[in-house]
Amino acid sequence: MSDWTEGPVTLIVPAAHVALARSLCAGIAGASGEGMLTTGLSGTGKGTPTHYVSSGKLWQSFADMLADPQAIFEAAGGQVPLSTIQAMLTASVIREGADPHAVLAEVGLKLISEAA
Amino acid sequence: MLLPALRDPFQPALRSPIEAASGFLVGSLFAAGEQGAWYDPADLSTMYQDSAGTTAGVVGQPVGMILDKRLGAVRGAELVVNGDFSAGTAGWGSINSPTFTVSAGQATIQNSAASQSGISQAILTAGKWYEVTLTRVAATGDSGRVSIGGTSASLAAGGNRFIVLAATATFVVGPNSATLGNSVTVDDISIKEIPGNHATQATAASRPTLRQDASGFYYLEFDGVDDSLATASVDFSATDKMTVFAGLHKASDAAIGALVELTVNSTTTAGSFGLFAPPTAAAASYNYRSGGSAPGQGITTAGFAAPVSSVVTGISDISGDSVNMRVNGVAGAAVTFDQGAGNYANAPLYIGRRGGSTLPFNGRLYSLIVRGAASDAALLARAERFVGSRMGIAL
Repeated sequence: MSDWTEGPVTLIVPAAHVALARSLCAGIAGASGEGMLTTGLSGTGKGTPTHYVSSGKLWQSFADMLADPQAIFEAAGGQVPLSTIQAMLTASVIREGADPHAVLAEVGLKLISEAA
Repeated sequence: MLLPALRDPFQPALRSPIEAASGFLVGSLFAAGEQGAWYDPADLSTMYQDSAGTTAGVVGQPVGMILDKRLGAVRGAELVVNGDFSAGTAGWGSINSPTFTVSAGQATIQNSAASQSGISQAILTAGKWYEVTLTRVAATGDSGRVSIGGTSASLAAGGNRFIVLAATATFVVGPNSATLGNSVTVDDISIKEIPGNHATQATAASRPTLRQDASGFYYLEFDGVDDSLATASVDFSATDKMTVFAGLHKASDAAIGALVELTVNSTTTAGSFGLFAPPTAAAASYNYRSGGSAPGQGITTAGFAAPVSSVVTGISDISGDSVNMRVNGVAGAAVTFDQGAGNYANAPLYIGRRGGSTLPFNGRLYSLIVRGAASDAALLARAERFVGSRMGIAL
């Protein structure tokens, strides 16, 4: 098994890019990358998600790829235009080693919390 | 006239050596066949970093699988026939006509055509968990693979271990591709059942982390974002009574936290229970709820603002129309309401998030026991004392 990252990697992706992001995570990381980015966020913590988040330890090799559009493009076999990947990464937030709740506060987003 | 103090006959003057030394025998909660689960982060042998059980759990790393210790996590009898190939090729079926040879007690399986082949045994039962171990001696062209009840995995050089919930009856080992001539050489194949309601998380980023606190107690840390575990369906349909013991630390009250829930929604799904910490945003409380055919309702115990550590017990009886909760051994006033009829569901247990997707719990889980039965006062006290012992709370 690859080495884990030292701390959690927090990914925040806008809703407009999340379908692509989910597909790339699953395609690159296999079964362990499926099911990422399913937790919804919004500015108020209510309503329709404007963003989605995943946070946790990742394989270091996967984490290293996240900020590198060229690496993602190659890992996806060239099936996704580089410009599309670049746009997704530019619109997203990626933080390694930080408390995910601090990252959410920094970017002004809240977990959407339906009534229990 | 002074009356002699009456001692509870179930409380011996001196705690038994077994209880004192090793704690309450949690297995006794399930001795009569009660359905449920016991997750014990203090037992590192029960945790793995991935959801296939290939890599042992380590403090500071994610937990993708935690075994249910309700039945002791004891491996069953050996199921493989001629797993060491001492009897040559005997006992093995084949798929897609491999070239199957045995030499010096090691089996080589080679694609004889441009199709993925393998050797097989139909020895599994769908819906049961198995631990598979084998040695990959050599591989040509690809890594080799196993298919365990429908779940495929590639092989690593040397020893391999997988813990898998079977969906079909068949175990297969062979090359990991359809390339003509690819081969794998294996030895010492073993398959044993591990009974229990084991909990897993396949998504790496959504796994809780195994930690050890400053006092040396082990716990699973849920990040309050997307961490959770879940079981396959657990059949509670023979009971309408439930006792849930949780040793937890609630790190924040900022958002609703679903610690454990049977079914995807304990408010709307028949035969559910749920334990929440907290039940609403900004609430300094815990909530336990239960429902049969009627929507789930519950009891909330306030006065527990995060950050706080507690032993929380949920107690419910559908036909008896009662729900109660104890915190650190202190009972609240039981709530009586019509929970409808019927028993609890045959459904997954979700730990850390509702349905594995929403209401993420933010905090620590030191111990979780789910018992599909009523528990008397003495049992409650002893189990709570045990759960407290796993986190430094003396009850």
